[in-house]
Amino acid sequence: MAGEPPRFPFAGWGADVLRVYWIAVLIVVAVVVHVSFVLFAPAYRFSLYAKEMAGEHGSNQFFIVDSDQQARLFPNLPRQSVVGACLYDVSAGDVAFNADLPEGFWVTTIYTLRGKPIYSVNNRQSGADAFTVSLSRAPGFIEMLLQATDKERPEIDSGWTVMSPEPMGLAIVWYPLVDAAMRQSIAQAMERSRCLAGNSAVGQ
Amino acid sequence: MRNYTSGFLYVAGGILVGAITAYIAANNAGQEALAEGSPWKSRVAALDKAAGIYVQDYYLMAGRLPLAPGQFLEASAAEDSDGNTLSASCSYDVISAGSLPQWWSVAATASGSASSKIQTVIDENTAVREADGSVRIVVSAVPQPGNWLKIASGRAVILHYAAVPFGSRGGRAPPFSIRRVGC
Repeated sequence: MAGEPPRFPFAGWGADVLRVYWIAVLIVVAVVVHVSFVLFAPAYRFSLYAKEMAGEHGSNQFFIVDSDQQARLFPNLPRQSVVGACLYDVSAGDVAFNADLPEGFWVTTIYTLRGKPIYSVNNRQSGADAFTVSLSRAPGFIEMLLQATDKERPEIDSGWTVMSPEPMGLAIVWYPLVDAAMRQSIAQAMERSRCLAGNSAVGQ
Repeated sequence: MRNYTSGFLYVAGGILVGAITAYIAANNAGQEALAEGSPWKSRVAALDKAAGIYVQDYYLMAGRLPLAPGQFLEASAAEDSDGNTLSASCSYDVISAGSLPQWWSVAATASGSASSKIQTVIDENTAVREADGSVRIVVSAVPQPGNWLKIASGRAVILHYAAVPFGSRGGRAPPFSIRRVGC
């Protein structure tokens, strides 16, 4: 009737029914927030940190990680180790990681930006201290279906090929040191490595 | 007005519950004991399981990356070998038994969170061996001779182990026992 104040939408409901309704709302909101947090929040935060770590180097550039950032990235590895990294971005095309590492024990790992390791190799498995890894974006489901029916298949580059399920990630090289005094010379040697965007860079 | 307020409180409660359960799940999911009776636990095996996304979040929340499972063994211990919770008020002996991996490290943090700063790290290249070839590491807030892992006094302690197990040297569980020396 005219002049009456607006009524709460559930004013006609019993108190118990209303309570059950709001508890259901609480559960749904909790599930949505839980799933959203798990799927997005840590990965987004880490992507900001990775970009900050890359700093002026930006994406698709190899750089030596400073010891403070290295201690944060791998806190259970000795700070005197040398860690090199490349924040790769394959959204616009393949990226070639041309590793040129000094002789000795090292481990190279390719991660997505969600922190999932998708490839790793050490000096013994590699057999060589200089090698190239071609990084590309893994095809989606529809692309895979199209490729399965397409008679002309894309060429597969020689050498190692790693397909990332995400457009960005980190290629990390870890080189432990027997003597901390060797850090500068090892870091200088590792800086010969390159991270290059574009198919023309593969095999260089 | 009261009905709208209580509705808002239910929604806010849902947001709080969702965020807290996600945080707790990320910090606790995926831990598996590496050997019966061993205080060492690892999250690495869970990376490829249903809890894998929580394990990834555990590392990402602190700006960390997990060590590559195919290359490293990674484990942590919040208790000593007798099942007592590690405390920074006490001193511990971490002693190796049997053969050690080609490369290994033991480090200490002040709490269970992945974002905790590591105080010190001792590894294959920096450890001083005993006469019999074993390694003895003293975990203490007070300086100690030999291999000493400094811990912050007054807080909980977590020990971290990493290793590159070339061939069959070292096995899967960290070859270190943790014994409380005194408090």
